Parts: sequence; structure tokens; C-alpha cells
Amino acid sequence: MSRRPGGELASRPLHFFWICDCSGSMQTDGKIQSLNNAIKEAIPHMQKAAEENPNAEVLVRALKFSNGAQWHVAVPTAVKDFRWNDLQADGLTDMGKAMRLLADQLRIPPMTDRALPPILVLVSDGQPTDDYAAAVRELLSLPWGSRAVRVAVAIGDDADLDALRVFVANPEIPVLQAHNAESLVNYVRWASTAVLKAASAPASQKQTLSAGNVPVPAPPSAAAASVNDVW
Amino acid sequence: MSGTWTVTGKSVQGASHRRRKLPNQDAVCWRSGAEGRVAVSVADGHGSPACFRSGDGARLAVETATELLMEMTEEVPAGGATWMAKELVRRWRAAVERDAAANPLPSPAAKPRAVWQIYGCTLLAVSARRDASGTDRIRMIQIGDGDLLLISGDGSVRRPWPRDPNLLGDQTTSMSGQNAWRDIRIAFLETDDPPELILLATDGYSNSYSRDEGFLRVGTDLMQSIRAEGLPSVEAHLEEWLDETSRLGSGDDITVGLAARKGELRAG
Repeated sequence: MSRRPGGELASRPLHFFWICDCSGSMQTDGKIQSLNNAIKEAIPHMQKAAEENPNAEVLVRALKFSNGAQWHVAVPTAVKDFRWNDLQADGLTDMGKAMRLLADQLRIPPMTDRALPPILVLVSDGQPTDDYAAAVRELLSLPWGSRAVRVAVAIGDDADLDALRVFVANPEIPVLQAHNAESLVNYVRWASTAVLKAASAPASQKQTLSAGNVPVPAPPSAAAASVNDVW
Repeated sequence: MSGTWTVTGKSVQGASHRRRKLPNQDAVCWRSGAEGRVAVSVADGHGSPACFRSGDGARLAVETATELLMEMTEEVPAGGATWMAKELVRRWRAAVERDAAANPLPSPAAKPRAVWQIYGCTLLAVSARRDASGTDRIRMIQIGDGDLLLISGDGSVRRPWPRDPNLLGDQTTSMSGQNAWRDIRIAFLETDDPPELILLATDGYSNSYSRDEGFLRVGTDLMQSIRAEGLPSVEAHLEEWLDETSRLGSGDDITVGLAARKGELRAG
């Protein structure tokens, strides 16, 4: 009898990027280790969230920036195989260079037009020390850059919220502010589970000028200032 | 009857829709009429919270488009593509307003500024007829994502227009757009060398293939299957094939419309 028509079938790729600030200030009060712990803690939850939708192939990468920017995990890695090696902090906050590395990966190719909207999670405690504004403009000018789900987590009071808002570029998605390790864990877990689920099964949206096309679920509510706040 | 066209279609609930207990929000409609004219349409309801009647919008879109194409006796209407696009949107909006009047919205808060906004969907439609002189006359309509393939007798496959590079990440132009008629693409084809098969598909189909070449092969393979085994045999397997494609591919609803030339293919 007839066989199924067509070539090789495949689930749709969903690219997830961690973009991590590794500047010297991240050493203060254990911020970098808290970020390492938060991502490590989130991985099993992320794997479970991804398993619930076999029609999305979640591929994870990680970028770090301090003096320049480098790939921490350069190869798109299936989430089930993803492991986290601790980041070290030292140097400046070259966030713009990270945006440029990211932009190179969001062009078509290497991206395909059948991908699900990528998820970009930026975590920072400071102010960009390079030409960040032009770099983020370039990122947002790309079809996949503007359609990506962009989430930013500010660690502590010294983070440049305006710079992070420019990255998110969506007034409906607030910049998340973590003042202690617990809230950082909550935000990182939310980005890697709830946001992942939303992006992996999007409904079609009427084309609009607004950034992004995935209804992002509400983030965990910000805890009131407490004695546990260290940042 | 030799040299005329036949049409069919199939729509299946997506694997991920089944997991999430969501209905199939696609629709398909086809008709055969006088003088050998046929028409087939497929539509994909957006399914987003803002378009909570998009499944109904898709059903109304395929009915409206199929009816419009079957009504038009002139091969190219007065006013051409622009008239046709405006008329399609006008009729769809009228159908939506009748539907909304018959099925009031759950609460006044749910009512948008224009009711058709909650019925948003994409649409692909085709009609075909061979006239007395032996010329095949084909009309094609598309708004939003999805695919329209023309498969020639030699197995080659082409699209009537390039894919819109701006339609990424499930973001699409829509029948519910404020100026939807401007986003509608229409082509009239008069030819003595027509395609043997025309395939319309919602985006869940092409998104299931790792490469576009793999999706284009669907057209060639279907044409060869129809030639070898007849259209009824292919129709009998469509649901199973589309189910498997959604399960191993995009997970989305998949809907297909086919217009095949009887003279060249074993239509059964």
C-alpha cells in the first residue's frame, strides 16, 4: 500500500539562549555562584517541561560576557543532554558584544524559517561598558531577533534597568529584579519552564508591529524587600 | 469525464492540540459545479486567546471563498484581483457578523472593536476549470501562512509566489486584519500546460518537515500515488498520513485540499 508522502519529518527547533553577565561585580556577594546554582537547579525542570511537548526540539546554548563575549555552550545542545559548567566572573560588562554574537546566530541561516520563536534570557548586574545600544538595535532588526521571546533578569540595585528594557522591548514584559538567591532561582526557573512551554506551543497570531508573538505567562511576583535581600 | 478536475480534502486535529485538549481549528471545503468547475479552500484559525472564535472564522472563510470562486463565471472578474480580494473580505466579515449575532459573545467585555478580530484565520483557495477550447483556467488565493503547490506531470513542484519572509514564528497576516484585502495574494492562470495536481495546505504540514525539499516531495509523491492507485485510494489514506505527520512533526492541526486533473490521473 502507499507510503506516507514527503521527506523526513522533524519536530520544530526551539533555540534557548542563556546570556550571562560575568563581569567582576558578579563576584560580589556570591552573585555568580547564585546564578550558576539557579541555572543548575532549573535544568531538570526545563527538561521536564520540554518532554511534555515532543513536537518541539529544545536546543540550549549559553553566552557569557565580561571583557568581550564568548560562547560558554556554543553548540545547540538537546535539553536532555544539557549540563552546566560553572561560570567565573572577572572584568568589564561588554553586553553589546554578546548581542552581536547572538545576532549572528539568529540570522537565516543558520536559523530556519520553520523554527519556533527562540527564547533569549539575559542576566546582568551592571551597566554595559561597550556600544550596547547599537548592538541591541541590530539584534532587534533581525526577523528572529524581533520575534524572539526576550526576558531580562536584573541582579541587585546596580543593574542598568534601562539597558535591559531596551533588550526586552516589550512593555508587557517587565524586567525581573532579583535581590537574593531565592528570587533569582524563581526567575530562572520561570524562564526555563513557563516561558519555554509557551514558546513551544504557540498559537498563530495576527501580524502586528509589537515585538514578539508568544503570550508570555505572568512571572513570579516580586517579593517585597526582606531581610534576606543581599543584592 | 476526461480533462476535467476533481477535488477533495482532509483535516486532522494536531498531536499537540490533542494533548492540550484543544479542538481542530483548521477547516476545509470543496465543491464541484457546472461546466466542470471545482473549488477547494483550507483555512487555519489562529487559536490565540485574542481569536477565541478562530475555528469558526476558518470554517466561514473556506465556505465563503469556495462559494465566491464557484459563483464567478467570468474567469477574470471585472476589477480583477483587487475586486476579488475586497469581495472576499466583505463576504467573510458579513458571515462573521451573522455568526456573532446568532451566537452572542459570552460577555460584553469579550467584544472587540470589530467582531471579526476574534475570528482570525489564514486562507488558501483554488478553483479550476477546463474550457471548451481546452484551456485550463485556475484561480489562486492566499492570505497568511500555509502552502500552495502546483505539481506538473513531470513531477516538478512550484509555488505561484514566493513564501513571505516576514511570516515567521507563527506570526501571520490574517483575514481579520484591518486591511486584510491588501494582504491577499491572487493569481489567475490560463494555460494549455496546467499542473496535474494542486495542493493547498495549512502551515502545520510544511512545518513538519526538516527541509522544504521534503515538503515539496509531498506533492510529487501524492501525484504518483494518485496516478498509480487512484484518488479514492489516496483519500482513504490521507487521514492516517496527516495524523502521523503531525505526531512526528509540528504537532499542529494539518489540513489539505487537492485539485487533480481527471484526464491525466486515475481519479477512480
